[in-house]
Amino acid sequence: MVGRWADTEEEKAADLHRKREKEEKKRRKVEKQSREQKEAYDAAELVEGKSDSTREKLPTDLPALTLEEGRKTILLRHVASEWGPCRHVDNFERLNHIEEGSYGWVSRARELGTGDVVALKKLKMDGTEASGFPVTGLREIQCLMQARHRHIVDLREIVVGSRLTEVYLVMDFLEHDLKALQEDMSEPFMPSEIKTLLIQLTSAVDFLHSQWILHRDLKTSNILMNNRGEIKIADFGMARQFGDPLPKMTQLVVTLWYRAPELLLGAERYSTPIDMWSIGCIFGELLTREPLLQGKNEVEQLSKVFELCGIPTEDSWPGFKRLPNARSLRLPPLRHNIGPVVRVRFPFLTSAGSSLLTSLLSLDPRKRPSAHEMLNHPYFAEDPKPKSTSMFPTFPSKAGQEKRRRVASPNAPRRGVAPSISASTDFSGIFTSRDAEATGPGFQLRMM
Amino acid sequence: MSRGRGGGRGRGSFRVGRGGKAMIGGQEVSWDYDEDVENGISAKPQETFPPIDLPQTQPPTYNEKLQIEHYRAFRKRIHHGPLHTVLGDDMKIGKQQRSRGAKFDPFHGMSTYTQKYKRQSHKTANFGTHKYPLQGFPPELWETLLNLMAHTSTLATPLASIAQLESSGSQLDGVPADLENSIRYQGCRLTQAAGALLRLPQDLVAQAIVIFTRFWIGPEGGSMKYYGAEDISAASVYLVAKLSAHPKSPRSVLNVYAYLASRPDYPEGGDNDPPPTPESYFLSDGTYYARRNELLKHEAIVLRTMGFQTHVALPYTLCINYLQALEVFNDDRGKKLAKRAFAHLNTLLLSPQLIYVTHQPPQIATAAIYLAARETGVKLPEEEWWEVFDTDREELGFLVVAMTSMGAFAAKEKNRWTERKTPVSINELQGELERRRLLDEAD
Repeated sequence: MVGRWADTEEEKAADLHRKREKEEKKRRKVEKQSREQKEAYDAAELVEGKSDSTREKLPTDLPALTLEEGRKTILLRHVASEWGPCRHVDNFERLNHIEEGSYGWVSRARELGTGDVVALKKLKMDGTEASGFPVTGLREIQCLMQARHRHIVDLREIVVGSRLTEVYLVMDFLEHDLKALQEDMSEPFMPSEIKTLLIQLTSAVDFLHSQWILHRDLKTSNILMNNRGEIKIADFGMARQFGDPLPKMTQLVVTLWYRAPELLLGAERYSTPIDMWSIGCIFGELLTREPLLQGKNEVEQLSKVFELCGIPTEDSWPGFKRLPNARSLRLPPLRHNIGPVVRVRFPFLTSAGSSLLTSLLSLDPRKRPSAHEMLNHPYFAEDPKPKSTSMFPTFPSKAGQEKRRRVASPNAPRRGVAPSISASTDFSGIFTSRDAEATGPGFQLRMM
Repeated sequence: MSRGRGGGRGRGSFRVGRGGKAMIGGQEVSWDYDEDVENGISAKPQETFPPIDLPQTQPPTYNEKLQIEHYRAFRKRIHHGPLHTVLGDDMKIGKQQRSRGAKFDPFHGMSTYTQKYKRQSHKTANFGTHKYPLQGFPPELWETLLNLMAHTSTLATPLASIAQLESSGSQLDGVPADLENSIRYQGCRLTQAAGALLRLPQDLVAQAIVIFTRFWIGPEGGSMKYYGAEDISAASVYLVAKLSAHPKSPRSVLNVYAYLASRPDYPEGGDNDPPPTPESYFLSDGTYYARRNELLKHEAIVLRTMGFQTHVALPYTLCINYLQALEVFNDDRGKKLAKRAFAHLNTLLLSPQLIYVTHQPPQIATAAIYLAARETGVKLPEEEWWEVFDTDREELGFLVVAMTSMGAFAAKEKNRWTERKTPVSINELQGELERRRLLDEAD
């Protein structure tokens, strides 16, 4: 049949005319360009003052012509990924078990074909009789497939077992996670090392946010590290894509100790700042080797947050009163010393460092820097400079069995009903100890 | 063999005389070829010792043979038995309680910083990860290089490879290509109808249709002989809805499909027909549980068959973006144009040319706008504006032909399946294949 896009006679003629005109235009442009280039070239020689007559002049019209042609034909072509059926897990030889989480079992394995050592994560399929493949697992796979970055753990492929419920994620194997590593180190990381770690972490988070992915469970045990000083973010079980306008999402995300105050107060529309809060907590943890805010439950967590970062007011966090759980809060009476005490808590941090940490731990999510802004913070530019990854110390791998020891630390929340902070929650007492400190004897030198 | 001559050589007077003659052991020897000498030397082995009668061993007796056979059988049994072990390098005999940790090679088993200097061995050269300085290459190669270095964007959708388009699992199992097209077309329409009944947004329905389409593609894709189109359609809808902000319960999905199956001519369903009785699409608890298990099983199969690649990029939002960039929303005709373009995008989902798995969204959106503008009479720029949206002329032409040919294809399909239902389940397909076979035999 005759396509509708086939031109009529007069249009064809017009087209031909247009084409000729265009070619003419192009020719003129090329001519003009080469003339300009020649003039510029001559002018440059004049400026130089010593016109070297022996130097052979380049044929000036040649590069202009090729540039013009090269530029014209470039159309954006996406690299299309493909799909194919999953391979069988028998292509891998299981070496040893690493750990078990709420999301699945992880073991070290070797690919028989190539000899590569990888981490195999078997997804847990509990309670899937009624709803099929767990949606968290699917989201994790989707996010990991989309997020290919140097500092994000690489999902190589997905392999399956003989039964339909056996699904394994094949990922890079890294020797340590930051949490277990810090517990074994006699001293915390050095400031230069912390900077390198933070830059790597933040660049990965920046990339994730640029791809419209929220990680929603950043914590030290989800940050893997190899013996080359490189870290990679892992465990995307909580991750999901977001959009603009923000969709309603569950507030039951992020491990309690790393959970941002707006989540604790029950916000349903939240965005990238929740990841930045977690980065702030990780920053604090890297400095001291101790998790920064260790609450036993939501209420205690919130009071610890307020203790460190101050009491929210309408000035410091406009609109916080409208959050679901904020109405029932009884806050202590306003005093002069309600601001953040980050500087006091980290006396050895430079002022740039503590300003970064304070801004990351702002109660108001809008005041936290984005990952991109954070990378340009002066803290990373000042001495000591970030340490090159090649200078990083090498740590003994966790036993020959590569099994990671777990100390008690909370897990990411389960899906379900979010606990609401009860109406009788009373925060008015959280600063009594600080008042006593302020009035008590003695002083402390603040080191910048 | 003359021993005397050899001895003479051993004493070693060897002079080369004038004219190419040499003196060996006081005798003049010529280098020239001498036939007499050649014939005189024999290469045959010579007898040095008198022959000896070597003693011969007796062949094994019957009893000995029996013993050997017995021993061999015994050894074989042991070797194939469960207790036989072969000692490897890392095995020690005896009590060694602490050897558990040593199975790990401390030198190569864990990666170290210096290993980054180790030569990487690629099975095939990996050009994708390399950063090329463009200035070092002739401009005609730039496009290729840029493609190599480009990051896989979320705006890009996974495409079928050429090998996947050449054949399909169904065709390998003996389903004729025309029947495959019909079933896929019907399955897509079914998915669309189910999505509408489930009140899913059109972009989710489109995703479900694309996933449904992907499932059948390629020799390793699903075969219609083993999976019913209806089941896969339901699984795709359920899977897509689950990943979205509008999850649907298995119960809703199965109810909708049962309802659709009860309509004799679904999904278009003439308004004149009496509505089906509720009994005809009621799912009893027993049926429901059985069907739910089937649905979840098919969901897992769909995921496996396409390697969990559930990402689908669609041209709808791009289409709006492009229309805004072309500034057509100034008057009412712009709205008409947008509607028409969206209609083309929706129609193209059902295309037998599998446009959504062979073309990227920017090209599809551009072609839809082009055709819609022609149809609604909206004037677009004189220039080759489609190049701005990364579409070249040929591709545009192909896509527009695909769109304009859809009407004829749909009409043909409708005429073809007036008397019988399109086979969307395994049993129906078996019946159809059987019918065709009988027709062939009758001819």
